[in-house]
Amino acid sequence: MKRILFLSILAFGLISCEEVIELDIPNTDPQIIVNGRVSDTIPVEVQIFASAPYFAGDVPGVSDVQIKLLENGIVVDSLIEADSAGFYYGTFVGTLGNSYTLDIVVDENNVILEPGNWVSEREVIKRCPPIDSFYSEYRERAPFQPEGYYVAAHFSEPAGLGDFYRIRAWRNDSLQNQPFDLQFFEDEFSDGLSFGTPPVPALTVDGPRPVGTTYKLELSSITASHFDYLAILQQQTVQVGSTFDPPPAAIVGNIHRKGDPEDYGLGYFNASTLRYAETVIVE
Amino acid sequence: MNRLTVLSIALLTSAFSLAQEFSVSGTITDKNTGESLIGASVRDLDGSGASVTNPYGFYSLSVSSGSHRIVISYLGYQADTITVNVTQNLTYNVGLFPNSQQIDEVTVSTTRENENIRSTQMSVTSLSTREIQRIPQLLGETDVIRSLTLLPGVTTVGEGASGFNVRGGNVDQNLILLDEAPVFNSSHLFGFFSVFNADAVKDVKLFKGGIPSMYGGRLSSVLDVRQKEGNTQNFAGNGGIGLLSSRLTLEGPIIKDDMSFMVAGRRSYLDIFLPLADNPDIAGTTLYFYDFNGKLNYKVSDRTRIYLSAYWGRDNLGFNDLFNFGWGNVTTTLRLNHIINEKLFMNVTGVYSDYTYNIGTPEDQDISFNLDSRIRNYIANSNFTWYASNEHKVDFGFNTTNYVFDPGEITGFRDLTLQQEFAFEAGLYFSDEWKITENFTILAGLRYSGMVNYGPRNVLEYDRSAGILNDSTVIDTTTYGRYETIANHFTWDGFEPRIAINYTLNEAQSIKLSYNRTRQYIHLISNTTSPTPVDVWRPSGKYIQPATADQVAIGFFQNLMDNQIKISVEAYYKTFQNLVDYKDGADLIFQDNLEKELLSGRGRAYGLEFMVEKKTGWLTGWFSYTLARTERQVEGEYRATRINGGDWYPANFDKPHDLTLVLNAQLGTRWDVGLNFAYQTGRPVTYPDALSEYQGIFYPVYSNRNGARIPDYHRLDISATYILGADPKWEHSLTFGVYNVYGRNNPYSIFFRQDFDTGTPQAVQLSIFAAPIPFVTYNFKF
Repeated sequence: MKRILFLSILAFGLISCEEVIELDIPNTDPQIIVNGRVSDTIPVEVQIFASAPYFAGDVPGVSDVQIKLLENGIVVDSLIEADSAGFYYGTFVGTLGNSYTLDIVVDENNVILEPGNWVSEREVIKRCPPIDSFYSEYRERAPFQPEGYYVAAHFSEPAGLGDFYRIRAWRNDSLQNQPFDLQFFEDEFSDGLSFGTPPVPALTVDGPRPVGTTYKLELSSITASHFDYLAILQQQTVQVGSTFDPPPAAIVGNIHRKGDPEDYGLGYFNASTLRYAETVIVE
Repeated sequence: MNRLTVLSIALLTSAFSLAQEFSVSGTITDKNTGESLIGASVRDLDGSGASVTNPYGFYSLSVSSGSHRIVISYLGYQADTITVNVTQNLTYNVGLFPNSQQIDEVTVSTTRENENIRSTQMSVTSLSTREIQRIPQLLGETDVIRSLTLLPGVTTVGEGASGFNVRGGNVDQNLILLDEAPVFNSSHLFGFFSVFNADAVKDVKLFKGGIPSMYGGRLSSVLDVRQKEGNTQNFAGNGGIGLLSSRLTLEGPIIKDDMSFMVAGRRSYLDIFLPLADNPDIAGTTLYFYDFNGKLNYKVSDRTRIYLSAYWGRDNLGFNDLFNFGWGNVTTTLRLNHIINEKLFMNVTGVYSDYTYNIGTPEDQDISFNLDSRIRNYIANSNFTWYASNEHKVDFGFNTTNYVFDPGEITGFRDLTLQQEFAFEAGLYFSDEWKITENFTILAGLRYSGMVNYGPRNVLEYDRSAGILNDSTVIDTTTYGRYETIANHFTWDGFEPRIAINYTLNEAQSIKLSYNRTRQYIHLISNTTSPTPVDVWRPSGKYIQPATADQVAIGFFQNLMDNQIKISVEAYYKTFQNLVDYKDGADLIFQDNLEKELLSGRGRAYGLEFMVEKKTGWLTGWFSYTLARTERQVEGEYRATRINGGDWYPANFDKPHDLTLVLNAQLGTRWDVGLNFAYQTGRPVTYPDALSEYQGIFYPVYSNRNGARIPDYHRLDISATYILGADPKWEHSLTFGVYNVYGRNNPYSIFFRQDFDTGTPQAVQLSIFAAPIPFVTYNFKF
């Protein structure tokens, strides 16, 4: 369906013009942002930021926050802040099938945020199949596909509906992290099938790029709730501006004030199984 | 309708008529073309009778025996007076000659129209094709819907947006009828042009309120578009060559006086220029629309007439023969008019209407893909008008619609079909226009409507105590068999009172009051700023409730200078219940169980509309000013089921101030110049409160939907028509002009995104048609 979007934008582009403008937007009090991940591979990590005025261009890290990781309701790790403000790391590595939550305390002495106790909703580490192959190939011109070298992956989606995945790619060691780079999908159309074996095409990661470009690919399992979060994040950052776009909406993650699910914080704490593969574009 | 019913109605109605009263009835037509005239005024100067022709040109007056002078008048036509000696019921079919452009209108004060003062009908506007054609238009394309947006109470979210909003109603709340067939998508090219070919259209009437009880199924307005019937006297044609499209209409008698046809076609040719673009993506794109209108009418006898009309329109967007996107409406109407007796008129209609869209790749591609979506309607209507006496005009009848929704079928590399959905809607109505005294008329109507949503279909069951419908609250699936009722919306809520009162102060002044309840059973599922061709319609069912609107309006009407200038002031207050709204970030595409993405909301709209119009003389046009607000409220139990924390917020098309000036001047015999100016408050947009971040992606934090506004909108357009030749056998003219004369950079929206290169959050203003756009069109008529 995204192709329709591009076509619509194309049609719209013929008679429209865009200009960057300056606006006076009133400032609001900083809100807590909690982003983090627990996985079966890499020790748990969390970032605590505070929201900033829209045009500030960056969000400040928040120091001196107490963060505990709970596995199936039992505390298993306390995270320690690194040298850069707002970045917290633990040592705990998760296990497939277990559920995880965070407990975050901002105390009265905090210089940026109001004091409060925040928690994340339950996230379960879901299954993720291995990447069978990650390779480059030359493709002819097709709709929305200029000719050139592309990188793509094969993997076998396990039978049973309800699996959700996210992929991230590092091109020449640099994480591709613009809103347009967000890639995530569910197994509604590919349940139990193999990406790269008809009828399901290979999973295209990037392209076209010159020969010699190196890639690292991360395939991770995500929960339905995280999928929804990424979908609205993408919708609100990519599908903007044309007549055919949805209205601006709050991007609500899975962080809320302890005891009050209606008072939500920003950001998302997720649980994943991670799979990696690397390749380089060759002729 | 079987014969027995018709017979009993006929007997009943004739029994009511008083013995010494006779009736004079007939049809009013254009003498040159045989085209019936809608809304022509017929008045008995020697009695109390006054009638207005119905959409088929029929009138009926009750008269006493003796001599009567009857005046027939219609705007743009020479009035005629006939003298009849009544000793029995009489049929008088009258043909009127149009005022030729060269001749000054005959000024006869008694025949001047003051129907706007006399009738109970308020909140209604008629535009003739000629009026629409004189308004300067974008690229010179005569556009019915764009012209309507120049009227008070009618707005759009912006230029190029699909559809229109009437008195706070969403775009799906307009019942758009083309020869009684509903049109589901009224736009070509994503909203830039409307589907109506003005050359094929005879009459356009928009009801913004005081909606007659014969119409139902939409909350906010009825746009009744009637196609030409075809010239019964001579073969004729007209057409035009414009920058965007060319069109040709042909009409003529098949059997003189009794049978005629009209065919019209139009095609855009923007795609011819696309290959000239440097960008290979644009050069390989095809983008065009075409439409075809046809009508056949046959006068079986003086009492019976049959019409067959059809519309077929389609848009196509293609990409290098590799990808195609198309959408369009098809409608067919078969209609039978029958004059049962001098006082009773019957119209029976059968309609088939079909809206489809299709997105796909050619089948020979490795990974082919095809998505089809469709909505089909089968409609049967029966409408009766009983001219009981000069004091009572009674309308009654019923409408039924059977809907078949095919929301989506994917074929190709993977086959997948969304379940079909079936629904049956019916309405029964009755209304009496009662002239209580010479100056006091009341129109009391009642409509009862409902819908039943029936199987086969699998429907999810939710834990209703959870207060939210989502994946986690699904508890079961119920399978409904063929024709099994899933939800029955024929309830006590289905009554729709429609009341209108006219108190005429004098020949030139009146006060009117109306109250309307309207119900809507099908809903356009779209959360984009402007609807897109891929939006689906869904019926009310187990989870989507029928929507209701109540509107009260009061108006003061004043005619000046012998009815040449008409002034109206109307105030309205309108509330909406059970409006479909959407959860934040709702995913509406290809969803079988849409209820998970939907919310139910309320709405309110109120406003004051002021209009001065002049429809006759060398200078015509109107000035209008609207002061109005439109708001919505969604107050759910949880944050995910609320919008804006449950507070009222302005709708996307809320524009408090809206001012329009439309002028047209006929200068001599060769020149016709037009001007229009529009000013509107900028529409609401949402500004972010703050900046947040997720793993390096910055995003705006929104909490106050539509809390800010884009800068105000204003625009001036001008046009001039030069008549090259006025020979009736070949009349041709050249129209040229400029849209957005002073190149106002009107913002369409303001949105927020990260800069593509630096990642810096920025605010971006999007404008369309931000420069003067000249146009030229060549028109001909023979």
